[in-house]
Amino acid sequence: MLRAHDLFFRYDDGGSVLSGFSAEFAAGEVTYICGPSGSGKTTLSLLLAEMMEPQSGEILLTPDEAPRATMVLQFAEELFLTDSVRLEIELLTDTKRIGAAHHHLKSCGLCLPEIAERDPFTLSFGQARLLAISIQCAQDTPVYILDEPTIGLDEVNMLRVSVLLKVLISLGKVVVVVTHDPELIESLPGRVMILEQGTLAWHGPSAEFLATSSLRSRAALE
Amino acid sequence: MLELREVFAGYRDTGEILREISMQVEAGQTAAIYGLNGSGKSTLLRVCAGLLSPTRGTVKNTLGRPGYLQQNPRLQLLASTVREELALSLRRLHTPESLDGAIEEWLQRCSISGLSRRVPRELSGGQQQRVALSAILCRKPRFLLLDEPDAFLDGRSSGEFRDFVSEHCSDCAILWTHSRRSSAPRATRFFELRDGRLHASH
Repeated sequence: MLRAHDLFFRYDDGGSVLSGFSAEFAAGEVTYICGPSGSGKTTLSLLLAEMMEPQSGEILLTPDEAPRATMVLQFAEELFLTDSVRLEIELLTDTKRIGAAHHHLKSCGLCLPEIAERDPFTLSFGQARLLAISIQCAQDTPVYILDEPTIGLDEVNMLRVSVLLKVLISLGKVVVVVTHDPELIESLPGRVMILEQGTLAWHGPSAEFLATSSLRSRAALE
Repeated sequence: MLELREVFAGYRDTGEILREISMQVEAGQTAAIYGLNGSGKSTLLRVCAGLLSPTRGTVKNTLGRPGYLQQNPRLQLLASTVREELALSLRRLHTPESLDGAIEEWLQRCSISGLSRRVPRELSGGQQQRVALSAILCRKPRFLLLDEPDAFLDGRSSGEFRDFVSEHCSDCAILWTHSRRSSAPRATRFFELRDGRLHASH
């Protein structure tokens, strides 16, 4: 389980982004973080992934392991480094991780032999996103944090991301997804947290969230 | 009126992406075009904008140069303030003396006066879409191409964007693409782009 306790964070240029955020993220379950823009969703995800440090408060993982978390940034497909899909996967270096990447690609319906020699920047938008997420989620960490993984994706590709998240959950991982995509939440039930002005305003089962118009509205989904 | 008659189009590396597309949109009408990622929606908009020539078929446009809102508004916001963004569009249509007045008028007309001194790149996605579209509307296009304008927006911003279009663009002919059935716009007619062909839907 991942626990955030009383997190405070503000950027150098002023405004407080997180003020006293506490929550628990269970292993083997997906937790969706929703909330209006500017509520601190991306900041929270960067703190949970230990890419930034809070000014106060702490983040605990039990049982603890290092490295703790894999972070999949927004528009992950813009970050390819090589000129072929095969080389991109080989950057993982470790045969176990490469195997995991192959497994993820298969889970989300990409046929590796067909695209292995392609330049990743020439893949279709959906293929490129799925490739980037598959490679990044091949890191073997207890926690995975994804920032808006389905933004811009059609319903078919959105469901493929959903399948990949399900694979991570079945491996007993802590999976945290920042999203404003109700169809993703519907496809893979879990817990929803609504962030408002840097604090946890509501949390509960995703089915209750989706069925309650006032909650969807608080999260700016409608 | 914009009319496509049996249009085929594609790129050198891809072969034909669009096949035998025929459609017609008039001022005041919105055509919604649904298609999955990679189905050719953006290619179709490029053909309608005159940026890509059909390999076969004809495109007839009596509405003049279109306003083209790209999927990612960050790509078309160039200025350091929202006010300056509108100035970029209005400068060509106004004398230096009348420019300030015109900017004020458009800031108000598009309900973005409150944002005038803000840096476009630092606005939220929904605000960026409104500013990018306002900068387009300043040039008074009669024809708009909206490329998945709410793909990056949350439900609330997407609703606000729809209201904005209904309020400010009702005289235009609009082509509006979307990649989720759930994000269909308010439209006169609905199409689906599948296997390079355009099918009427709904």
